[in-house]
Amino acid sequence: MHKFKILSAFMLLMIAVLLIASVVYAYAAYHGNWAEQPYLGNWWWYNGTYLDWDVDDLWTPAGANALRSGHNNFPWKEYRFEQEAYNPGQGTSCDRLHAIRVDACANPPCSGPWTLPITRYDILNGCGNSNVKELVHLELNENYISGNVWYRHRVTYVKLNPGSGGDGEVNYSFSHNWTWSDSWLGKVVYDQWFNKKYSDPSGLVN
Amino acid sequence: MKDKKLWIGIALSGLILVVALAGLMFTKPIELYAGKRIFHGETATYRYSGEVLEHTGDVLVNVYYLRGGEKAIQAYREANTRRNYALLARKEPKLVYVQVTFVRPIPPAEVSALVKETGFQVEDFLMAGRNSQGGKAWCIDGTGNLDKPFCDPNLGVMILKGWVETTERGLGRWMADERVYMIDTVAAEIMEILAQKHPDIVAGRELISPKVEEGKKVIIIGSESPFWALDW
Repeated sequence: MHKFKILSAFMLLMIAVLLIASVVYAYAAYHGNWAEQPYLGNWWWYNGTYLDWDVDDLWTPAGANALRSGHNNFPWKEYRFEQEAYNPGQGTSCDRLHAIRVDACANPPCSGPWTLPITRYDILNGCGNSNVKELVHLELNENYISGNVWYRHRVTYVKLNPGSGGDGEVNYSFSHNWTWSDSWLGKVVYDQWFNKKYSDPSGLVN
Repeated sequence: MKDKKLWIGIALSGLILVVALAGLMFTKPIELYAGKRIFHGETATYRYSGEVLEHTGDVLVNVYYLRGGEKAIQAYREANTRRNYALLARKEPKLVYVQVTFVRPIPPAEVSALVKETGFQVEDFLMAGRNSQGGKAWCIDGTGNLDKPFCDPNLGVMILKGWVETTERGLGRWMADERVYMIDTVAAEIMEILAQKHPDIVAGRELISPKVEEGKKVIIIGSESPFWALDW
């Protein structure tokens, strides 16, 4: 009887551990060192009929203050995310992923994270064939962004020529209209079948 | 004496080198400024800046309201209305690039009907509304298909980008529609500014149109929309 009690307790403990593990997810501090950029990122990679790349961003309270201050004071910076489904440095990994939708909490709805507030969007050709749109710009609505809140959006891509082309990558950067550079936040490297291989920083993608 | 000639020679060579380098800097093709802001300016109601997109050579022009919150947005909206009447008054109809912001999310079927009625050519659109949990949600549909949106069809269309002719049946019909908050035609004005002030940028490039030839460099003009603060 005593053995059964121990076994039952052990099983309950295992179930509890598994439950906790299922709701605890990976996230990582972004690369880049701009005061106004989000501090943490928490990404998901769903490789189905389409490729869904979910991005959650979190600013610290100081970061959110810096973002609003940069926007509301001279030279009134306009901040944006640049989501590049290619290698932006070398102009490679082109024509692999074509962005057809950017969804912020519509489907699936968000329960917890908030909808990323924006004022403008662009879906652009990043490199290669002009009909393939690898580049998404999202201009932030800075005054609606708070610290210690996760903001979510998902980009859906059509996968082009699966099984060919070797590894590819998607990159995420933060920028504004008064700079000649941007702050590179991180990337995911995927294989020829669009399965995720790893993220940089590590632990960023689920 | 020899030393003096030598020093004069060195000084002259240096001067020539500096002039040559300066000349190179100011005449290098704008592609070499890829990813960098290459021009900027301000009108009575908006600021704009242009950048060359790395790897494509396309030029992206970013348009922002002036500072001043709601008043600045209202001034920008009124400037658009004035420009739209001026465009409509032109003798020769022209296809113009527009961004329509609706007063509230409009069912895609309604927008589709208006699109067909006016010959509007859709580039893409943003839908907005409340999700099943009551939270604010938006979704950009890059397919441009209003009859079968890729986004959740329960949302409504809040921003529509595309091209329409400057005729009564086209732009005029959109201007008269009460469901429309703003028809942003700033692209037409920006192209005039570029032609006057930056002919080097316009040369070899055209404003993005429904049918762009492969390999042709384009000018893309993007402006803000006040949709977030509207009723949805």
